[in-house]
Amino acid sequence: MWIELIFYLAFVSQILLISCYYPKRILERMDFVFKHCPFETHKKLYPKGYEKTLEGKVTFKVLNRAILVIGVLLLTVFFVGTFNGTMQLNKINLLPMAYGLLQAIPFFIIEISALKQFKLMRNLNSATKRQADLNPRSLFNYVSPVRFYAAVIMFFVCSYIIFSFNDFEVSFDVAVLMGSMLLCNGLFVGLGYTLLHGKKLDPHQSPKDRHIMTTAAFHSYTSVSILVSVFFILNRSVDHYALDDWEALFNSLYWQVLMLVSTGAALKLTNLEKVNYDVYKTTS
Amino acid sequence: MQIIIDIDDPVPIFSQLVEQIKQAVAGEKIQPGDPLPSIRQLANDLDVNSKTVAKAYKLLERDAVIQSRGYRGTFVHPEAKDNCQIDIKAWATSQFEEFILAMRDAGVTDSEMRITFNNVLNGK
Repeated sequence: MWIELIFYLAFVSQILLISCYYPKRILERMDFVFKHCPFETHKKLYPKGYEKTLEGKVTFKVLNRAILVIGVLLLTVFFVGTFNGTMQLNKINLLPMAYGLLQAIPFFIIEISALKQFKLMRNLNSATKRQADLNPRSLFNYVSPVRFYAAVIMFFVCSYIIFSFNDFEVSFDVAVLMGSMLLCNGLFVGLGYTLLHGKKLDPHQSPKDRHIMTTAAFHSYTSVSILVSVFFILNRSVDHYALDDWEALFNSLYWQVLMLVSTGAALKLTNLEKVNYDVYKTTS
Repeated sequence: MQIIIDIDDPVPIFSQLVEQIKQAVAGEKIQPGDPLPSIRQLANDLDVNSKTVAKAYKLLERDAVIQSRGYRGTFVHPEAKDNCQIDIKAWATSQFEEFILAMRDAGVTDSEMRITFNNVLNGK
């Protein structure tokens, strides 16, 4: 019974962390920007207009509240079900992952919206003067070699463990796992390459802020890559060692750690008070 | 070290790049042996065609202000500071002046010089 209790504690933590704590911090940051960079003086920061940006904030808030309510309802239903014997923990092991995907939707929307906003900023950018740094950018300017090679080593260790659990035979399951891992790491390689050698996303961003944002992004990519490898190792271990009762707990903790090292680290690394907002001023 | 170009400036972008890199070398803002950004990086950052940056780099390499070391990238030339003081246009002008004077002394007309110059330049 104590495994069930620990799982539900972890699930409560997952609901609060991802649908309450992080949205609250992001909304506070939005308010900070709105307050310190009003539309009247920083028009470049609001390419879609102030009302549209405010609408985005409200949508993010409402979506997170709705997901929080869904989480509380799910928690109540499954908690009651588990403790009156109608539900078993090994039957709901995908609940934290499925709910986690739902929790990720507002964050995904906010990312897509930011990309669209940057594209609009680039299209509206009429400045004739353009600035560039005369220093070459390389991967290790943004991420430590230890962190980078740890991610690479974890990828190979994870591949080895997946194959070893399957007696080094390629089955459909193994192919799916390997494909997912390659796809995920391939996405990070592509995004990393674009950040290093591609065009500036935000045309007004100062070189210092760009460096901070790129560092935060690489920090997040390497951490998530390591965690994906850890997750697949845990996933196969659960099957191999028949740890079905632990799987739901692993999944919930995994999802929370994933958010801590991606969104959490990004929020920690980018200090809004140190961002140069003068570049967004209408007169600059 | 930042480089700033103005796309509305009548001076061609590649010339602005050449001048600013030379100024950075002369002002010791970049040192001999320092690495420079790749053509693609600089072109993307400035939002200009990569051929423009390649042309600037080619001219700087010709003037021995920068040197390309294959896959390792582009670096500031060890003699860059001295080399960027050399004005190749002024040197070419003085060479032509001397040559034209010698031709005139030999009785060659301006018209004959123009025709011959164009023929030689066009490989005829």
